[in-house]
Parts: sequence; C-alpha cells; structure tokens
Amino acid sequence: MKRQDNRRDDFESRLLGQLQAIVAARGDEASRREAVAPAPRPSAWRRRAPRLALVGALALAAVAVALIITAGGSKSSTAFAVEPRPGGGVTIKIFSLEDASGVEAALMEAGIRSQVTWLDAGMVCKEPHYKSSAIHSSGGGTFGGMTMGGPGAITISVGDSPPSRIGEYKRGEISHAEFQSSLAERANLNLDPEDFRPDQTVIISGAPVPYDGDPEGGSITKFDVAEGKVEPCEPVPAPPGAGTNAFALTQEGGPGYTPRGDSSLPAGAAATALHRAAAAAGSSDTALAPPGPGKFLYEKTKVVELEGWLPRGEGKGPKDHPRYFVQINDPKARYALVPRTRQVWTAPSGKTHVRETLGRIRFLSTADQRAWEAAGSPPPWAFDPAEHPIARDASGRLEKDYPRESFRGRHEFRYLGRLARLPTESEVLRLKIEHRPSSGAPVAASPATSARGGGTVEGLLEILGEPLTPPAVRAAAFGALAEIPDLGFERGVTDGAGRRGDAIGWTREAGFGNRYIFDPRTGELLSDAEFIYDAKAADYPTVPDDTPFRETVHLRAAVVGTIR
Amino acid sequence: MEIEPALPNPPSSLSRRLSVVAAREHGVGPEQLPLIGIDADIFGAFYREHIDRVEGFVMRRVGDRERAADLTAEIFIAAIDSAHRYRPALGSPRAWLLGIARNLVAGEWRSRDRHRAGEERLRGSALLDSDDAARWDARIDAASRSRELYAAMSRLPDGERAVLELVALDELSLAEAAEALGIRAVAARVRLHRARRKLRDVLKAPGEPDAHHPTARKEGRS
Repeated sequence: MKRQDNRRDDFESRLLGQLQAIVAARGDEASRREAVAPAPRPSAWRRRAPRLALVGALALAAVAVALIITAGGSKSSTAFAVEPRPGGGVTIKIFSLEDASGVEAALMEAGIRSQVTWLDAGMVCKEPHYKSSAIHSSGGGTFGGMTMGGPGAITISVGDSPPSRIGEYKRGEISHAEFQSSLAERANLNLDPEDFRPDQTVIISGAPVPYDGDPEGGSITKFDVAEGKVEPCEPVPAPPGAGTNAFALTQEGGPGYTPRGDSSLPAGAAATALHRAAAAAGSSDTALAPPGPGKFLYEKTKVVELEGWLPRGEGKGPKDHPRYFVQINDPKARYALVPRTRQVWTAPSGKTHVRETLGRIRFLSTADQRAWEAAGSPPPWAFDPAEHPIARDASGRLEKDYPRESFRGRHEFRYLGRLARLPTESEVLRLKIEHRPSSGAPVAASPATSARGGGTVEGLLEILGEPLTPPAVRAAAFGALAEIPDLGFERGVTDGAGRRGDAIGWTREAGFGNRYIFDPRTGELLSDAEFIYDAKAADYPTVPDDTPFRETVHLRAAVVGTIR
Repeated sequence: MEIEPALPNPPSSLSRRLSVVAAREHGVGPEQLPLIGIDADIFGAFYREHIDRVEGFVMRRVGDRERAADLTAEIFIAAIDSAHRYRPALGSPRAWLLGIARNLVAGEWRSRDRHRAGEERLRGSALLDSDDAARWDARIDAASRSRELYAAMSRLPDGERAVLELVALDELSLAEAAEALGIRAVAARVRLHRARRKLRDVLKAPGEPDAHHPTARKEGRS
C-alpha cells in the first residue's frame, strides 16, 4: 500500500478539515434528498450564468477544460493512460516511467502545470531546482509534497475529489478500516486545479527500484509543489542511504508493509501463539454488551508518549508561559516518556467523561531527569495548572476531568454493536475485511508483506482492540491472523504496564514501527504501540533505538453504573 | 406548489466548480452564502476569508486560549447551521458572521462560570497543539489591552456598547459597524458618541494615568 507523507498542518487547517467534514456530510444528505425527490433547479442558478463572464481567466479555463474532457475520448500511450471521470476531471495512470513530457501534457490539459522527470535507478534531481511551496486543498489541510514507493501503477486524479465517506464513518455505517481503505481507493495523488495559484507547479520525479525479484518492479516517486521559476532537473546520483525511502523500500527491493519480528523464531511460532489466543478468547466468559440507559462503557488505558523537554522553553510562547515540553523532534530537547492514565466513561448518548492523570515522567537519561527535577519538575503543557483546570488526586498526581463527546456521538454504540454481527468463522471474517466474496473455493490469505495482507492485519487488530467485540468474533480474528503468512512476530515482549506477551509488528515509515502485544494465554490485546526502532532513520538522533513513541496500554474495560 | 426544502439544492458539478472559483477570487457573496452549509469547497473559501477576523474578534474578548479556540469553532458551526436561513437583507456575509460571533461571545462573557452544557460536536480546543498554543498565546497577549477595554465596556448599555466594541476593538468604520448591527449610520454615530463620553477615561492612551483600568491578568508561571 502506498503511503503519503504529508507535511504538518496547524489548528486552522485542522479546524477547517473538521468543519468541511461536517459540511460534506450535510451536503451528502442534501444530495440524497435530491436523488429521492429531485426538485427543479432554483432560478438563482440560471441567473448566475451571466456573472461567469465577469469572473477571471482561471474560471474560463476551467470551463474550457471541462468541455475538452467530456467531449474527447481517452488519450493513452503505452506508458500511461488518461481516463475521464464522471462529473469532470481525469485520472492519469502511469504504468511505466517513460514519456515524461506526455504526462506533463496530459496534466496541462487537465489544468495542472507540472514538471515530470523520470530518472534512471539510483538518480535524483540536483537540489535545489525550485522554491518549495504548498497548496491549501479544498479537502482541508495543506499539501506540501510526498514521497511514495511500491509496485504497480501511479494514479493521479485531477479535478473534484471523490466524495468523502466520513459521514458514513461518523454515523457508524462503516468501520475505521473501511474508511481508511476508501481513502486508499482514491488515487495516489488528488489534484484540484482550483487549489493551485497561477505561479505554482507540481514537481514530479521518479526512479525505478527493484521489487520482488524484478530489477524495475517498483518505483519511488516524489511529488512536490513549487512556486515561481522551476529550473530543469539535472540528474545526479542519489546520496548514500537515500536508497531507503520513507517506506522501507531498500535497494534490494521490498514492499510497503514490512513485517518486523524475531526472524530466529521457527516458522509456525506465530500461528501457534495466535491459535492459542483464539482458543482462550473463544472460551472467555467476559463479554461486554453495549451499556443501557443509565450505564456507561468504562475504559481505562495508560498512554505513554515520547515528549521533549526544553529547559528554557526556548523560542516558544510568551515569556511568562514557557512551553516546557514539545511533541515534535527538536535537537535541543531532552526526551522523556510521559505516561498518563486515561479513564473514559461513555454513555449510550455518546457523551463521555474523561479523567486523565499524569504519571511519573521518566527521562531517557538520568542527567536529564535530575535537571528537570532541579527545575521544579514542570509538567507538560497538557497538565500545566496555569493552562487548564487541574486538580490533584489522592496521591498528589495532576489530574483533569472534562466532558467530551465520542467521535461518533450518539452513533457510537451503533457502530460498536456492528462488531457483534461480524462473522465468527475465521476465513469468512478475513474475506469480509478484505472485501472479497466468501462463497466458493477458499481463497489463500495474502501475506503480511503485501498491501492487502498488511491491511487485513490492521483490520483484524482493530477488531481485537474494541472492548465490545464478542468472544466468538475475537476468536475468529485471532484465527484469521494465524492464517496470514509472513507476520512479524516476537515472543516475550513487555508492555507499558510491565505485562509480558507476544507481539505482531511491522515497519510503517523510516525508523518507525508498530507493535501490537497480545497475551496468548488469555486472548487479550494488551497494548498497541508505535515505537522508534531506528532513531537515526526516524530523525530523532538524541534518542536510543527501540524507544516507544506512543503506546496505548489497555488496562480495563467494563460496563458500570456510575462515574467515579 | 413547490415546497422549499430546508437545505438548498446542490448545484451541478460544473456550475459548482465555477462558483467555487468565483468564491475564491471575490469572496463568498450573499448569493452563495446559503451554500456554506452544504458545500465543503464554498465553505472552505468562506472560512479562509474570515478565519483570521473571527480569531481576532474572539481573542480581543476572551483571554483563555482554550475557550477562544472553542468559540472560534462554535462560531463557524453556528454559521454552518444557520447559513440556509441567510437572506441578503440581513446584511453582508461579513456583517452576518460578526453578528453570530457577537452573540456567541456575549453569551460566553455573561455566563463565564456556567459550565457549557449541551451537545458539543466539535471542541476547537482539542485541535490546538503546542505550536498553535504558542502562536495563540502571543496573539492573546497582544490583545490584552482590548480585553481590558471590553471588560470596561460591559458597564455600558447594550446598544452603546455594541457600537463602541466594533469601532474601538474591531476597528470597523462607523458605516460597517452600523451595517453589522443592522442600524442606521445616524443611530450608530449617536450611540458611539455617548459611549465614548462615558468611557473617556478608559480610552486614554496606554501609559496615561487611568483610574478605570481594570486588572485582568492571569497568574503566570515564572
């Protein structure tokens, strides 16, 4: 599965994204109503037509483009194909890294100015050859560029993005995994000509990489946005180490999902542990039903995050409110693991009460620990009494209580209730997650190294992470995992609460890995973590390898009658 | 007989795309405003046009960063919810949005200690990260004088206070303030004059002796 490495955005962009999701959901509702009972277009729209003549050249170009695309057929060469999309716009599918000027022309015709360069293996464009810029996309957020790698065609869609399924996700009609795969079904890159300023250009450069025994079976492609003048690309050899891109694609070739485990373990070790977990889960007598009126679903977790302490709050905040901890990597920061216990009570209405208690902050080095204590042990911003209403619990730890609404609001338990209707037979469950029909001959499980297999693993682990999943479905999920070849598996791993179990893991991007720890004796999911296994590659040079980045330890789930 | 639907009809894809371009170039006009509640792109253009203004408006009145972020989100949500009821007679889109902002912030100010009950679809404060926090704190700090004025103005009658707010805090012209409040310019001028006379001391330039200067500093960490 190809990944996107988008740049950081800010409060205003995040808020815009959330608000647009709300508006999009309302828009979907309006469309649905129109489909059911279409009304004649109000005359206001016809009145708008003469106004178009006063609008700028870009709009007229958009009209012209729309006419060309809908009037003409598809243009293709053996290297790429251009297909019109319903409702306007095109999808450009790039099958091989040839005919860069043809791709440029196709993009230009669709309203996007670009510079496309296909390079030989191991080469990159000499930088800098343009001024980096960003576009603010109508989908919310900022796009500054991305690098992607893997086998298969590169798809670029130009024009309106396909409708988001976030409304269905929020109403509990589809799961998180389904929502994520709807995003993945979109093209690798979505470009809307209207998001571009006239002086902006998309810079595309790509080179083949070996994949699966084929010396040019995959590619690494870099997308960027430039403003102003763009110089021609001058190919130069890639610097050493650049053969590994953000997706752990190495010169030897490799997929987007790289399972990570203990390769010294015998071949059937993972399956044995997972079958054991399946049996334990299936025979469990603790089953949670969604809470009825007056009751709450109670979940207790411990979240441990890597945060950096800046002793003098350098450069951040006004002088009477220094920012002690930062969550981004900063070479001046001294790193600590910041644990907080999180208790959430969720009512059937979706309203929640959250209580977070700050635990003991442990710095990665004792010298830093002492320095922080000498400075008065300042808490992170989220627990700073000067910033929030913070109390202390009976042991004196900083604690805050606040109400919230669950992500799906009143649909929360409707979504979680769907888990009870999942198949209880492993193969059937797996195929359902993979969106494949399950009638007929059994279909072999895709390996965890493939995009499909990796995505299936994530989907199954998501099911196991939900507290309301019934025992029979949990057993099926473990059973399905046991059938997936090439899982990254480790034995004897310790979670953030000191409990031991086995783990399934993989690499997601440079230096970062994911690890799900489960207990085969009880069939419980103990924790899920993102951790830094290669600090240099992850760009955290002052942190040792194998440091947790963010771990959520599952401590308790129950249905209770009160918030206490 | 056609019954007007509660939500406006979604436009065809081509005309929609062109209206988005128009919105981005010239701002969301009165004809397009009802669409901000159902069209994500037109909403996006509206948001970008007004977000800075809304944030400034809120920060000049509310010194608590998290409440300011919450209010910013609530103002846009209220705009989304009521956009379909907008009619050009209510004023320009900017004036309309300012009216929403005033109502929400005023409600906040008067009942500061009241725990905000009811449904909160979206908590703006949850979207602030530490970089945003630093940036907002700087802006909130810079607006502290405005908040002092705002606090002082609370003693004025509503009508006079409203005009003075928009002129002295938000730096609107008298004509813009009149439009935002839905009153005639003449009436606005009279109210402004009365308000200024009553708050003559508070509106002295900083540094001058100031008998009515309320202190509203937060306790900070050193």
